[in-house]
Amino acid sequence: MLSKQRNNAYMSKLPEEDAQWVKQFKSGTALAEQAFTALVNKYSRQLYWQIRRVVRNHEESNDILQNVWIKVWKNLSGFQEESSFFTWLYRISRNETLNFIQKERKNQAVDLDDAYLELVAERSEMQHVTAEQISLLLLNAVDTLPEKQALVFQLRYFDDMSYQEIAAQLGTSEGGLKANYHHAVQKIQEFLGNQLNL
Amino acid sequence: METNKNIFEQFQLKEKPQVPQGYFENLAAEMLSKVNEAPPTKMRVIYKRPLVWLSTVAAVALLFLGVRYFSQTQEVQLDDISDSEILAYVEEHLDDIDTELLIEAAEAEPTSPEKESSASEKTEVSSTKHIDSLSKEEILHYLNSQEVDLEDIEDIY
Repeated sequence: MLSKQRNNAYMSKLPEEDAQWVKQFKSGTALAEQAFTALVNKYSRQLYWQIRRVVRNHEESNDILQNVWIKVWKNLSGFQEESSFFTWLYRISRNETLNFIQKERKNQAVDLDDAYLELVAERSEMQHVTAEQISLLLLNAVDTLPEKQALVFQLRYFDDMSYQEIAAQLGTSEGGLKANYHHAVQKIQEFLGNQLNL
Repeated sequence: METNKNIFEQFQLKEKPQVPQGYFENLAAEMLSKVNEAPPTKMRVIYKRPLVWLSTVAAVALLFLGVRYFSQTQEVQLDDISDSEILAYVEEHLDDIDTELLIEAAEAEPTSPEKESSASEKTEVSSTKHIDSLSKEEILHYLNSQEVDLEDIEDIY
């Protein structure tokens, strides 16, 4: 295991572009708004779809996403850069989504999206399962993963990013990402198999 | 995509649902206007602020301790006064002090550390015993010394 000192040195290598925006924001000058705008434009789509897969409604997804960016605005000056910016951003987004579901979603009659997965018809093992169920189960399976594996899995599986793109976004090595993804897939398979009695 | 496992082959991602036109393009501008809004003034619920609570509790505790200390200080001051000083004060202000009050106080005070029960009760008991032990001649002698008219006593009894 890496010592804390070595780990901090390794993890402080933010993706260069993100590091520049963060630095510009922290300078507190008029350019902070420019940096903030750049980050919003860069990451909003990814965050939005991660949120919407869970809440399945545009209005609520928009509310959560805006709350995320407001928190970023308020707290980015104190960001310690012990993780990549996107990892930190993902963590905020995840917490806001969970808080929303637990506290704010009181109106159960919201218009929900269809399931984001569909079953492949010719497979027989899952005929007793609906697309709705498997969509929910997959999200539950991702919830059981360690944060890094969950993040890598989402970027690879849902966002269809290459390992090179993910490495650039998270500031990690491609080799490590492949291992993370492999472990995530194994755990999700096991989880779904248990849940579906396959 | 490297999803060769059976389960992942049994489902696939659907096309993403629609979002309002221009949503992502306008989002950054909308966020800037929100973060630059002046925050609404809030009623500060003071009692929920832990620092205020702690300060209040500390102030009450100090007040309580101060009152207690002051009271004890008063008692200590009285304890520090010597008997001679007390006697001098009494002699100086004797006219102001009810002599009967002095007698009652004297009777109420224990005469030795061993006596735990009420001093007045003990005095009464000891007085009764003392009177009972006196002879008639002694009583008459005393009364005559006090120039008490025996006929007055007979009238009473």
